[in-house]
Amino acid sequence: MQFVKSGYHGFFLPEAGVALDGPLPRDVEGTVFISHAHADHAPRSRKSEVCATPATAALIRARGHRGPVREIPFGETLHLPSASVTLYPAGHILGSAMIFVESEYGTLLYTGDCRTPPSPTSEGFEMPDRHIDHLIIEATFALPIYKWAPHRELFDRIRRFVHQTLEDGATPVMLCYNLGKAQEVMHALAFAEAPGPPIQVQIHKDGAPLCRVYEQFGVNLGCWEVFDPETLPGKVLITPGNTVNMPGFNQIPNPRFAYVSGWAALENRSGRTDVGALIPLSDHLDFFELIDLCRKYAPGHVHLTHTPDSSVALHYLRKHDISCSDLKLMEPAASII
Amino acid sequence: MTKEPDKAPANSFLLLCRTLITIQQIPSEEERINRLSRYLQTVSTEPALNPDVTPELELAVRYAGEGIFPAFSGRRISIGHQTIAVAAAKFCDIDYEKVYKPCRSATGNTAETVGKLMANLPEAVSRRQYAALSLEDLHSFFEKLNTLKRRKDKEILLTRTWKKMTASEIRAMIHLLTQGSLLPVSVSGNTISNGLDRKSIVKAIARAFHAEPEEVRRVHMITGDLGESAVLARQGKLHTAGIRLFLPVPFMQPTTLEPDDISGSDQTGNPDPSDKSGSVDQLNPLKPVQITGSDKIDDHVLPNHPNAYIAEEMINGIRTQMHLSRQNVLLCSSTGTDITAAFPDAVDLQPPDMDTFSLILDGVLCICDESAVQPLHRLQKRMECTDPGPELIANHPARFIAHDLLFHNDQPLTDDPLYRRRKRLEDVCRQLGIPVIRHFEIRSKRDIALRITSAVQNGSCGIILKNRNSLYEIGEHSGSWLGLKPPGGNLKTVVMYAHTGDGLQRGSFSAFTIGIRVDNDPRYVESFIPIGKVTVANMNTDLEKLDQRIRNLTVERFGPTLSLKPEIVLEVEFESIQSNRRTKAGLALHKPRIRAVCPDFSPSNTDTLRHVEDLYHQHHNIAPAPESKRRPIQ
Repeated sequence: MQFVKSGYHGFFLPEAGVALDGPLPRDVEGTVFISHAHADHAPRSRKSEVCATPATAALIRARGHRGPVREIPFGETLHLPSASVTLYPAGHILGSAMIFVESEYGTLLYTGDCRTPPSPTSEGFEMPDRHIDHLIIEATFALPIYKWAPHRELFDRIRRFVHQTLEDGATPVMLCYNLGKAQEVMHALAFAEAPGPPIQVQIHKDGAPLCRVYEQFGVNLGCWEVFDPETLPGKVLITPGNTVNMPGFNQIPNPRFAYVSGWAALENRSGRTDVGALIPLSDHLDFFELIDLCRKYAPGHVHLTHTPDSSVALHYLRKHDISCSDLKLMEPAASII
Repeated sequence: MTKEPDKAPANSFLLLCRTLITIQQIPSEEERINRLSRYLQTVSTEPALNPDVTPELELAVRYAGEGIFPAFSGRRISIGHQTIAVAAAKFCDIDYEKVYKPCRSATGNTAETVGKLMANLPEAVSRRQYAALSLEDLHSFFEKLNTLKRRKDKEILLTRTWKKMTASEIRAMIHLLTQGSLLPVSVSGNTISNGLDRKSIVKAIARAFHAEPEEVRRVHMITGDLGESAVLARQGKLHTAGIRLFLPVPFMQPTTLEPDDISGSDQTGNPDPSDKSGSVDQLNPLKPVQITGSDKIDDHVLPNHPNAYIAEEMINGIRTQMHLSRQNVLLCSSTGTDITAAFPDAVDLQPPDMDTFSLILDGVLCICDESAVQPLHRLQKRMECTDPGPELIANHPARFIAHDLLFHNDQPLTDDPLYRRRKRLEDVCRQLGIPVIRHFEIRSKRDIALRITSAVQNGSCGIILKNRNSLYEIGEHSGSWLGLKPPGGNLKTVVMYAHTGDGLQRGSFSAFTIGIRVDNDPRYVESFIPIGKVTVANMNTDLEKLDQRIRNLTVERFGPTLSLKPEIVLEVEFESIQSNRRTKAGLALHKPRIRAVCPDFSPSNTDTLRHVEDLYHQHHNIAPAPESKRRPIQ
């Protein structure tokens, strides 16, 4: 099976006529599938035609996508001229899907970004019950220094930080990505078990339309509104780290920052000097989850992608006699197309 | 298999680790101080009854705020990161090259890497059984490790101890060995978001034992030991602390004036040619110096207090303390390290009534030849050798030059004014045959300028202005001593590596490795090679502008270090150029600091290594090698 580089993070399967998280090569007929709505996987062109889950479709539309989106519910198979494609829940963010492609060249599962145990704000995690010839799996955190604590424990830490900060009369500022992580933090706070009124949240304006999509799909995000420095005191602000130097943010009264991300597992990765809490809540697989998943489903070959360093994971997979390699992508000109 | 206990036993190392982790997660500084204070109240001091055992309270405070040994003891454990890493890889049953090194590259930190591997890898977990090590147990481990010389023995001891520890204890232990205190500590008093500065630790001690923070601070300064200060506070004996012979006392330091206050000028006169005082090594003539607008000098030194200040030369040497009692002599450096054995000639004092002396002198060690102070590179030859032979001593004779007296005949003199200390210093040193640095009268800026010019011509790096009434403020950077040092030169260099900081500087750039041009130099294949490392303190505005550029120029990342395309040009000034065998250039800039970022300056026009070598030869009065025989200076 050939894999042809396509766009920033994606690739094209010429035998199946399917592009995954990337555009089709020029003058080639086929179908584009999007695993989830994060910017590095969603279509660059706002007018392109793609297939995605209903939630992903809603999220990319909320972010400005104007092209046609064919909505494929989880578990429903789309029969194409050269392949059949089924989407399975990936557990990463709302709508995130693993893409299962069957063709005469065998079966392939592309995980996109995934997490098991799944994010409580996603539709869960489910693998196909078929043998997988090629597993193309993300390996963002593919080092044994990464092992995530359970969601419950991390959600407790988020609540403790927020309660303590509010008690001290300061403003908790949770630094995290607008799509996925922000909603996980809101979900955690929505279930806060402290006495008194529920915790009120303000979110960066770009995150607000995405929160509405989450609520449409039944995720409880608690009591929230768009960021307004005038009414912020006594509430929690959730915003990406790169926004806190922007106008309006310097009016936050007595801010205390918490960095919420898988990268918060490393002490030097917060990117700020004044972060009071590092909370390693991740929506990606950790190293051990990755190895366990590969061992459990014993695919014909594992292709690692989206990783700064695959060498350690490959070393471990080979120790377990699993055929594996980095995902090797051909340049479009070198392919048979 | 490790079973992390839910409740850590009292006085255990685990309890200290957990407490400090909790403290780092507390957002409010006041609450962090309270939390530490409450913990300190629970730690035992019982072993204090036995003088051979270090009280656990002393250890807890020391590990939290200073490190394995008191900050000013000069003691440190010699163990390499690689020794720890190799032992950890074996313990965790992982391949050092294939698994450990990629993990270490990701974190940039040995303690964090090993701690995470110990916590996460089932093989490492199954080999450990928690044994409730006490603080005293850990102290014994460090003392034992300090006696070991062979790497193999150190690995065995590490492995044996790790078997009894939890992952968080192992991480903390390695942190102590490689980075120092467990709490992120700011010594400069800056706000720190997840640690405590020294002042706050002092506050916690005072709060725990109902003492005055100022009194705890005073005792900390005298003893140089936070742990001992805590024990004295607990026992209500802070008033008993005092300067003790053969226990190094933290030095009083001058406040160094900004370089902008001093500049080269032709407007001032030349120094008095008849002045033969001080060191007389005639180095390259430098431009005379002009004192420009310095508020400190205008407001305090000159007009309102005539004769309030004196000047003394800042000799290029090792700031040293001499403790002397009867026939016993101790020399210790500014870190408290005992350097007596390395300089036997400097303590070869034979006055007729040596037994009657007991004193502590503050001074400087330098190489003196025929009554002239010699350049710093000659002292470096002595510093490289801890047990010098007769030939080395004969070729590079060391001498201690005194400039202050802290203790005399069982009496501390630190609360006496300088003029009174000086009088006793001169009396004592005359009897002992120890040279005393000369004081000069200062009445005008012109006097100061002349004195700086003269000092530099004598081979000193500048002068210190001292208030005649100043007390000796132990361990303080005092405003009553002002250091004035003209820069040794400046160079246009490129940034080769950017280093991100940790602790207080986490997430921002803390330093740059700067490079010098060798593109037309047949000795090198590279275009630039490192020549020094500059810290980026006090340049926040430029840093913000540089931040994106640095990210765009990044070629590779090694943990917290970014390798850059050599395109950012910095003008740096430095105190001197020193030979350094460990660098490609064979030379390194001493105390370089950033003067300016030069956005319009092309890297191809920056200064060359040949230029630096010429400056080195000129500064050290050495004839350069012929062009055909030039090699990197070794």
